Amino acid sequence: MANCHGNHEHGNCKTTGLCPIVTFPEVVNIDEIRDEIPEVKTFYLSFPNKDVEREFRIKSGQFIMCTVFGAGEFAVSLPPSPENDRFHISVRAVGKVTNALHALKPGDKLGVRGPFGNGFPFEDIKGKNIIYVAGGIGLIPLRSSIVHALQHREDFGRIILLYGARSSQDLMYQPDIKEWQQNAGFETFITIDKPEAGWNGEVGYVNQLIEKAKVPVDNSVAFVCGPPVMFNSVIGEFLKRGMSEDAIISTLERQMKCGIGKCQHCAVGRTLVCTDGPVYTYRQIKTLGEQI
Amino acid sequence: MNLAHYKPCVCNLCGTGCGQFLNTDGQRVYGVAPLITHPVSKGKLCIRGWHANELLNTHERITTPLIREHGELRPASYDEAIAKVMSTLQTFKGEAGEIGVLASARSSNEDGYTLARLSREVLKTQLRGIGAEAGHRKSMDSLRHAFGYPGAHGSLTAIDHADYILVVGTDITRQNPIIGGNIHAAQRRGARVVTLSSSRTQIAKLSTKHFQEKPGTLGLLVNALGKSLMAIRTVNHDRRANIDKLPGYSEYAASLRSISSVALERASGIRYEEIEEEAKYLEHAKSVVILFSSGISGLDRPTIDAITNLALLTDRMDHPHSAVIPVAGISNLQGSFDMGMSGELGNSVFKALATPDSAIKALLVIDHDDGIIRDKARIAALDFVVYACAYKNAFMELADVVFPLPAYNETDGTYTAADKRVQITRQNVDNKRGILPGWNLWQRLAAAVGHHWGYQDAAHVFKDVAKHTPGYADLSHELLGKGFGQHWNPKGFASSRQRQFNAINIEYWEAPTSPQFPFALMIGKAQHYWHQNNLMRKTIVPRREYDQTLWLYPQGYIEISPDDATRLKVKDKWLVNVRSSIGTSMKIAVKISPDVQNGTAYIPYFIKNMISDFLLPYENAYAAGEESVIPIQIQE
Amino acid sequence: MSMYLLSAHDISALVTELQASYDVYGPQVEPQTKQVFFDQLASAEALDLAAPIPSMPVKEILFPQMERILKYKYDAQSQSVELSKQYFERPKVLFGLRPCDLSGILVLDRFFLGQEFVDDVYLTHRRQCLLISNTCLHPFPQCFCVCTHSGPDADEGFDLDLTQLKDGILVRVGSEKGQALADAHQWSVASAAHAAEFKAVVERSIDLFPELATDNKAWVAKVMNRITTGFVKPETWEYIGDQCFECGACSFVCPTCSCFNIEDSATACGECERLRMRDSCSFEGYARMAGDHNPRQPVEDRRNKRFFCKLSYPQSKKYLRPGCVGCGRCQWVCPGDIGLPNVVQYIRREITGGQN
Repeated sequence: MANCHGNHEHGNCKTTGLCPIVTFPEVVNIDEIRDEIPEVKTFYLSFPNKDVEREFRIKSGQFIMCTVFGAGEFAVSLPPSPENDRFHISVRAVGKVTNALHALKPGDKLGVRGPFGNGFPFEDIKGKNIIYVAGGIGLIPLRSSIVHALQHREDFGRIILLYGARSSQDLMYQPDIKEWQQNAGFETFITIDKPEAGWNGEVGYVNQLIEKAKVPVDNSVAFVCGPPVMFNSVIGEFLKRGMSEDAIISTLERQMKCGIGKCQHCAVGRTLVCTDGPVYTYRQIKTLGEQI
Repeated sequence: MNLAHYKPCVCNLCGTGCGQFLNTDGQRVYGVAPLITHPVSKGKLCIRGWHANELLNTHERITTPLIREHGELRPASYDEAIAKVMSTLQTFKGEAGEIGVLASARSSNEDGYTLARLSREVLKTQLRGIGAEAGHRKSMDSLRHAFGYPGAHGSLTAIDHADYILVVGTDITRQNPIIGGNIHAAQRRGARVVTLSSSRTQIAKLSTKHFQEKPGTLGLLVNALGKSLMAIRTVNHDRRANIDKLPGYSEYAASLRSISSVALERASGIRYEEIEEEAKYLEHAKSVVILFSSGISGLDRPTIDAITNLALLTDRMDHPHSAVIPVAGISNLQGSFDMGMSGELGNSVFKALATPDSAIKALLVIDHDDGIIRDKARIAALDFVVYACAYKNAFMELADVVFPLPAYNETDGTYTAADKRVQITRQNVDNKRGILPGWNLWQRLAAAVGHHWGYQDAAHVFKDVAKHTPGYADLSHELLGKGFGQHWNPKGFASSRQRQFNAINIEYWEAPTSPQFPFALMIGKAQHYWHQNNLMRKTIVPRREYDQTLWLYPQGYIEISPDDATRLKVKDKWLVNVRSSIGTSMKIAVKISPDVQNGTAYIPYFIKNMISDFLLPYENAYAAGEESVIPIQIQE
Repeated sequence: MSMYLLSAHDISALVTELQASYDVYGPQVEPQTKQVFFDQLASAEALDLAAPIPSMPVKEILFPQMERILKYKYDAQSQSVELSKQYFERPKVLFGLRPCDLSGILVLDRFFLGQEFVDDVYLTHRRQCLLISNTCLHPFPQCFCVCTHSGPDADEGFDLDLTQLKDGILVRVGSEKGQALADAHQWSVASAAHAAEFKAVVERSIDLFPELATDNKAWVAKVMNRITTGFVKPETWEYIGDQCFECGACSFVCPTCSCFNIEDSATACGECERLRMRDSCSFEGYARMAGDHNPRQPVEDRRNKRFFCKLSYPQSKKYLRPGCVGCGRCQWVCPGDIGLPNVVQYIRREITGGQN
């Protein structure tokens, strides 16, 4: 890719054959905007430059640097599956840049650099049970892997989703969830914090679903994403059941400016989230020496 | 041969006056470097100084004169805007108090001097004032009485040699970090550094001794130190000073003698024995430096009088390494005062704006901090408001005509630091848009109504400054360009050798707290206590730092002690309701800090809605400055 | 390695010749303040090879304090955007680099160019650079390069290296580029005696280092060990943190500090520039995340982050040398007393239990 300034000798380019967009943002068009939950919107994107589009390949668990023209750049995880999925991002309006993004309309342009980051270890987990545990918008970084795993259903044992949110209003990707619930090969457990009129599903916190789902511990790997309180209680639950710290996988979020391991804003302990992460095992996270 | 990119200048971001280089090609400013041989800063800069390049690169600049038409500001030529301003101002009577002039403590001396001329000779108004001057006027009055001239006694460089350094109140490591660094260096070389401060500030942590007094008792503590020093003198006949011959001594001595150690301890929480111990060190010091904060958050007059009196009482003020310095937060507060832009007490522009039935109808304002616009409604209701500033800010909304100004380094100018050091910054960056420097703008305004001053450049203006400003007689641009500036000469004041004590009253200040409002709330001592918010908002990294606390505490915060937090059953970042004894209230997050005493609470000075909604109704908060205390209750 | 002996005149002629096709930078003394800067030379006469260590590191040229990297124009009406690159390649000669600054450039090279990704902005500034180093005949106050293997002479990374000897200036060639430059001139070849004199000059320079610096040599390794293993006591970090004024100066003057910030700044309606500016891990807001918590809080945590970067094995592995090059500038500019040599002292005091 003309824009690539990856170090082909050392880096991702060599190991994956995928050249990311490193320095100059490539322009993407906003094709469609969907309201997900309060404060969160999903933006469907496409590259006007079809050569770039062809070479833009992602791995589950990676992220891009997204420029909102006039406001700035921010890091955002990629929810689409690497295969046969629409290119999109889901973003919560929390700061100056993401608020500016929410003000945009279809046809507006964004800049994209990436994809960056290590991604989930997809090859290493073949043949295992996969347990996805998400709280609130923690489903965003997991969606890519979920869709991808379902596209390769035969490669895995049980696939389970435990998903919790504050209320039914706060459940991400509801069309996807409806589809997943119909999928016989996918065990989904959805819970909300407090009872609600018209809600027939589970009520309570996500960690309580672990018992309910009779989650297998042996030959399993858990992907956990959500707010720190949920994260800690879920991890505690898994460890109690004897799950290995290496089998619990999560993604870290840090402030990022460059995405390529140079600016050091995302340094955590001795690693850089942008290049060494954002995907870490719980054993790694534990040794980082900083707050999650 | 001058270098291609590095140009020496003076940092303009507080009253310390640090030496700085700009890395510039004359068009843009790429960076800064510290100036190693500068006598005060000695190759150091604080976060503000290190990011001056970001400020000088901001695009939030006023680039052309603007005139309000149909409610909107539209670009105008200088000729049109000047004609509009002067024809309108001529319809008002300056002598009758219809025109006010509110100067900036960041303007150069040249700009300040010509603005003073414009006010006096052309607009004929007495209604003057300098933004943020409130506290400084008190410092000047006290110093003038004590030392015979309105300015610091001695130099900031005295810190590097003095035996004894007393810091009263201010967290100087935040407000003037390089002075704080010099004090820290002095402490390491063996000077005794003593801080009086109700909270455990960074300078308190770096001091040899920290007296953590109860709020509102700084002056009492300083006077108690005076009492013990006087007691040592009385028994030690080898060290009989002639200070008892100075006017005001006997009254001062009588007041000191009246201090009761029991009452002192009850009011301040400090035991008199501790102060007696301290006085022994002070007695042995051959050179003494006293620093206190001066400006918008400065000390009240009785506290400053206690300080200047103690300075005289040490009898060490003639030592070359002694000093008493009102530390200014803003670059040219002292200079603006010297240039005569401060209003007369009781007849200032502030007073006119605050008095509902005053005659004021028109206002000329330079570079106002938009975070603290007082009497905003009154200003909005005036017939005519003219505003001049280098940077865009909210004050523009109040103006009928707006003028751009060059930023520092885009024009020649001199600035007078807190210790009277007058320094020059040359034009190092192109003034691309042909913006008139302040002195020339004021000259053009004067000329429009027939007053022709004939100034060619800033150096020419400075010749007049030297001729007409006491203390500045020996100075010129040429001279100032050769070294690192020069202190103005106190001998320019006839009374400069006449020392005398200020009259003091010993008061055992009772905290206005009550069972209903048990917390003594103080403003302005939070970590991000920056006097330059107006400018720092235009930078990138310092702005991020400034906002940092707000990321953690989006509603702002109130600092309380861990014990009080336990008693109130609140945790860090919990929202509480804070209600003052006069009924104002706000919702704010709790920040638990071990540096705060039980029963006291602090809120940062910079949070806008707090300043305007919560504090502005509290008149005393401004009058008392740094020592102001508001009784509050805190509820979950 | 070929060696030549040049006269002062030869050096002058070389500068003038290079100026025809390069921007030539070198140490010069600012006339009013006598402060030394490594700045672009107006003429060969401005070059002062005897001047003390420049007050700012040479990274000023390759990694400026602030630069524009991108400009874009966005039209909301037509929903179109135009982007243009804002940094450009210029052939440069860095003439008379002190060995510490040369080591600094090598560290930055390994960091910006040698990891997974290449930093295109740095690469563009660095690509056509000729590096000419200059042996320090004696240490300057606060220098401690002998402790960090980065002086007083350069041993790698230069195209040409200069050393002032009695009879003239010894030129050592360190690269093909340097050799090509030598081959294009009729420089006289240096003798074995000159080579011996060079060794003696370096030995004498090392002897002139203050006792503290040479004494610290072994201590730097011990302190690195402590920092790497995380055994430095919290009290020591707190003592250091209390003295931090959070000015960022240490990072700005460090030849190897590479942290930066990126910000888009609107210039006019719909026009924006992307600025890249140096940053410091000592700042509170450095690691904070939008709308969320700050993972690094107390100042002492942030401080030890920086010292970890300068003095730890994992970091040295990245740079192939310690992150600190011993220039001592952080000591000059610190308003507290926590320049790197002092931090070594504090940790050393902790190890010895107060005995120095």
